[in-house]
Amino acid sequence: MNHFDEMTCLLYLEGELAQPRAAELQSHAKECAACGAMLHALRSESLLLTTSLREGDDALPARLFARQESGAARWAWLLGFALAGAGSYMVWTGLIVPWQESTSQSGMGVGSLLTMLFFSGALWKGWSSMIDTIQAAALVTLGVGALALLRGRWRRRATFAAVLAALALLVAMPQPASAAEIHKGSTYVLPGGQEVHDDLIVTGESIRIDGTVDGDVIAFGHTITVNGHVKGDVIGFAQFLRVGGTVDGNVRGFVNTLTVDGSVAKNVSAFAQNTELNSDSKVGGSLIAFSQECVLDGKLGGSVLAYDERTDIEGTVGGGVELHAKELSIGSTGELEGPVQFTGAQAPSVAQGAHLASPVQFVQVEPDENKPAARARAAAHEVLRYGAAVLVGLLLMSILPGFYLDGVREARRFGLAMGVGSLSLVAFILVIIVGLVLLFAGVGGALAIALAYVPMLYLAQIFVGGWLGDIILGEKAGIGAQLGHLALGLLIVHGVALVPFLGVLASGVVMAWGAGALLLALYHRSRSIAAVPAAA
Amino acid sequence: MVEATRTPDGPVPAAASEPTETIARARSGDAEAWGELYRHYAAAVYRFCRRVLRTREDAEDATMEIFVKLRDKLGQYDPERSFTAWLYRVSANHCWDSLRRRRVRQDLETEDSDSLPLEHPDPGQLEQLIAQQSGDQMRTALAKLPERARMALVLRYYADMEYEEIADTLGVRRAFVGVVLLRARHNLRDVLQRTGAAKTHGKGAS
Repeated sequence: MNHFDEMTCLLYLEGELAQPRAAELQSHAKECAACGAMLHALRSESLLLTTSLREGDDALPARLFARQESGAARWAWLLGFALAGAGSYMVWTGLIVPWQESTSQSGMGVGSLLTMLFFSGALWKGWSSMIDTIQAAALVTLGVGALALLRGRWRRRATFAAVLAALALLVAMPQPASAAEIHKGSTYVLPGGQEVHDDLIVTGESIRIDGTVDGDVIAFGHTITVNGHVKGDVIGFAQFLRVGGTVDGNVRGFVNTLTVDGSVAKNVSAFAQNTELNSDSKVGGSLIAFSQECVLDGKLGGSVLAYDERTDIEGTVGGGVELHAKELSIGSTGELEGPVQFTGAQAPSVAQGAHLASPVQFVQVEPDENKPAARARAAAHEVLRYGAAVLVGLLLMSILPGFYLDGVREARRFGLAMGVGSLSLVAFILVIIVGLVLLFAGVGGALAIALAYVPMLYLAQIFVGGWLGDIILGEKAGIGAQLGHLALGLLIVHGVALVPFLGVLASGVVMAWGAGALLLALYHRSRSIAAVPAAA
Repeated sequence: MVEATRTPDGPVPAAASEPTETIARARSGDAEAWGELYRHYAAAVYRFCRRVLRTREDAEDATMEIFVKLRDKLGQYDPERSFTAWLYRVSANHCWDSLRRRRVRQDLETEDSDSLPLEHPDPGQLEQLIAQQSGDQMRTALAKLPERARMALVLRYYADMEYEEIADTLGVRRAFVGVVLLRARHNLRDVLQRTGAAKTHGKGAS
């Protein structure tokens, strides 16, 4: 007699075997020891599966308990936001406003330094004149979207052709009469005697302006030379920017070398490796320079704010000088009519014949980061930061214990948290940059976002620290144990931060990771509010 | 000795003790009744998710998402049928969807191995293997199974689903459910044997 196979036995036990065959098996198993044993073994296995799956008590996690006293939680959130707001306000009034004031006192009377740095409304003007192009692009996007919707009827190739046709049309369309002249090409020369009655936006390898521009010049290129007359501002992104002619507005350069030989009626701001105001140069306003080497040889009507490696002053400065550099030397032809503040590593060298309204106020700073004193200071700062982080953690635990646990929990999913975190950090920075550069009215808004960065980073390290503590000491309930774990985890995080190079890397990872955990926790919190009802 | 295929006590109260009246009130939009339902069933859903999904975090998230779904779908529930069974079906579908979304590759691998022949086991050895296992060992071994195998075993022996429902959830033919379950059992036995062998080598572990 044939034995029944395992599959048939299982189906029989589960009541899934059709009748004649089931009866057959039943009567067979009564006589066949092997098949009887097989049925018995499978049955024991089923029973073991059921019992072991059903025992094992998984208590419902705290997060899934019906929310108690939702009113109190709402107050806690409100309080948290109020604290964050107060903190931001304090940072604003305590740090940023005084900083702005100090920069404006040093002669930068032209509104806030930030506005100066991001080249004021000038670039915005350039952008607005490009609006026609942007509008056309928007139209094309709209068209492409409509085509994508109609894709069901259109063949893919037809869609593609239509998009191409639309793009071709756009390119072939005559440039609409815009507020600015826009030039592209490898070389651009505005010959002497010619005049552009508008803003001029130029891109090219080599750009030379010998004629007159009755507006701003915005130029992107390798070498930019302005020998003619520009009645507005000159804004240059280039390797070399040389201003030999006359500029009635400001000169702002994001360049390797900025050279001024001619005259600039307003201010000069430079983000450059070398900034040179040569002996023939005349600048009516102030100079702001972020560069490696800065040489002031000409006549500067306003004041100087510079962050450099090395600064040489051989010419005349009408206003005050505020300088952060390693070295400062004032040559014998130097004439400084305002006060000079110098923060640097070495005492300034002042030549015999130099005229100074008052002696240089010199503040020495530790030049070498690797010296023991500097290291000790860094360590002390780290300890302070550590203390602050533990304190913020304690605050979070006592105000929003659930949220703290959520964050730590999300930190356990390293990959997801890391991905979300790095993306959001990048997006965050982009929002700030876009806010600053494009929407000038939005400087305050961008700053507010930048301020939100600080609490975010604190929470990030708290979540990672809590996770780390739990990993080492095992999970425990109770605020005391959790605080202990957090303290240990943060200690490790901050200890690692002190290691050269590796520390920077580790801090970056912690930031992205923790920020991801924070965002995930916020997301899931919003979900849980939808899912978990409040307790009666 | 062992005669019953199903254990008498289910993971949640049997159909007779279902809070029919609360369910009806929740269906008509009563928020308080919904809260009551949540308190009554959250633990069961969480435990189910915990059995099926790999990590505690995933199980927590799934539980919340399932309740969001349940709330939306409550109108589709047929009061004539068991609420618990319906709850498990919604939960199972949700968990299976999320597993599928995440582990497409591994699924394909298990489907490839579907055609391999299974060895006929020796009943005596099987009994012996079963007798050695504690509940903890079983749960650890279950966690090591491929997604579909684990899912099938949980649906059948924890949630007490019929073959028809399991076929629906896993997207396989009804006739194939037995094969999936048997393969899952073989998988499980392999894991148990391997860990058992490892244990006799390194003696003394709990």
